[in-house]
Amino acid sequence: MSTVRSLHKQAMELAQQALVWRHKGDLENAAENARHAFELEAQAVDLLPQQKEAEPTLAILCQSAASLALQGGEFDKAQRYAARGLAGYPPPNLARDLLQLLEDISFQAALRREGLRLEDEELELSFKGPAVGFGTIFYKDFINRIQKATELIDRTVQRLMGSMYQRQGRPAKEFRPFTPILSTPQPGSFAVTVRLGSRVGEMLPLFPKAEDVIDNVLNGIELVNEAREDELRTLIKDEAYFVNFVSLTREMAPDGERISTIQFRTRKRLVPLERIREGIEIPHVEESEKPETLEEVVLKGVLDFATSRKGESEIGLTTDDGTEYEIEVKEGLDDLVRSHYGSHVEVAGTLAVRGSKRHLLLADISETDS
Amino acid sequence: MFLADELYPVLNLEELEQRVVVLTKPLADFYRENALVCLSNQQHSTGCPMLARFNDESYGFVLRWAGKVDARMERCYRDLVQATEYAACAIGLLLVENLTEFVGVEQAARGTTVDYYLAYKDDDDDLPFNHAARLEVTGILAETDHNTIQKRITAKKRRHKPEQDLPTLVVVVEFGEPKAVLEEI
Repeated sequence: MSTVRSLHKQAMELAQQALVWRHKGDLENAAENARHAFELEAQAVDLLPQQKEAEPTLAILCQSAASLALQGGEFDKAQRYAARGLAGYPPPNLARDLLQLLEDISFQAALRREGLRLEDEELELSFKGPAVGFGTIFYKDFINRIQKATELIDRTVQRLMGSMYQRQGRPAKEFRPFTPILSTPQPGSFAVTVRLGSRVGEMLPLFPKAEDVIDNVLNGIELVNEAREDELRTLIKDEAYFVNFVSLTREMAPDGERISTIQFRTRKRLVPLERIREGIEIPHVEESEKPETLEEVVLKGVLDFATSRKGESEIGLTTDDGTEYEIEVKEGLDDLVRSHYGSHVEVAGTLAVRGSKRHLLLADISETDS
Repeated sequence: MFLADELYPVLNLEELEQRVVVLTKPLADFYRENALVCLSNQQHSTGCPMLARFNDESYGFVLRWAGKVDARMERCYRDLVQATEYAACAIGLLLVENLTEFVGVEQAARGTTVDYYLAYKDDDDDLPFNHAARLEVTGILAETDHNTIQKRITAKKRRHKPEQDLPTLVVVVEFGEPKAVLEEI
């Protein structure tokens, strides 16, 4: 007759095999072993009475059964056994683990509903500087940088897939194989982990691997940090992608006052970004048409209008005295400018006056406090 | 430094499966290979000394293994953070078997890993975890100012409040020297 011990022992032998398969990258066999292990572990749980005397064995086996069901992609069963563990008399720390497991099951189930699965590769961003406390950070110092990090990943995927640089609109679905997912901030300095979700069953051989994308991003950031933009240009041959990469990295870079360092960490490497934003130059923009007058200017105002009429500037600036300017944005800088739309900004560039039109060829943009 | 096997007990990674009976051969091999990668990364060879501290006493060991890290293993275990955790299991489980009076190891799945529990006595009832202590094993490839054995133990203590939890034995294995600390919390 099967006992709790013998069923559990058999379950664990299969669970060990699942762990080894998963590490070897054979996810199908790992899931299959986990499902078999779950069936045995569930039988072991079913033999136990739902009584205080059965603890902590009951809670531990419920957690084990739920973990195995989750590994096997059986979310309903995983939820049922985690809940069953909580319904008993688990010691407080095991109860906490079971609650965390329930949350994880819900999240994994939500990913499944979206048709996504989490890639193993992780990119941790940690921030240091006066604007950072223990596990806390000013929103404005964080949000823009994390947006730029995910844009950099998106653009890198498109570049690695050989897509033409796209200025407007969402890229086609096939050029968006990953969905960024943010995991819990880690206290210490302030750190968050970006993970990539990929669509289940849609990762074709031509899609870049998540780890190659992140590696490529880190190679570029390392070069910008070390002021080796010339080498970056050999890595990113397309001018628009190159300008885009430098401008997004510049936006993430420390300001030297509020944020002093940003570290990018994967399991294999650590890349610091310590070069101050002001020291990173956005690659020079060539002018094609000869204007009537040319002048280097710095203007303050609201980035406030956009037209979609072909051939006209998409973005404009209304300065504090009400003067309107068209802003010309070079390919590659559009992600940078778009993120400031609707804000009060300071822009620098070359002003070209052509008849009644005031046309600013953008060189730099930053938000002001007003 | 060479330590003769007659003077110090041997922790033989080749005997992992026999010493820790709950480990199946595939998992024992997997842990052992991870340990080889970490030890080799830190320039150690078989026969190297290892110091362990348990209950304020220090114990010397000789670490032994067979074979060398080949290209396949380097490819397989290039994620050294993860490899260090699995490698710590290999050495941690052998240390527990050598140093403590626990009579057996139990295991349970947690997340995508395996959690270990230690049995105080040979129970024949059907509640394998009712007289058990939790075993927490973690590894450090090479200690730095920010990543020390003591900091790991403090973090584990913060997580497991003794009055609320099962008794817990923490084992931290460091591969730079190599050395280990076992502490009950």
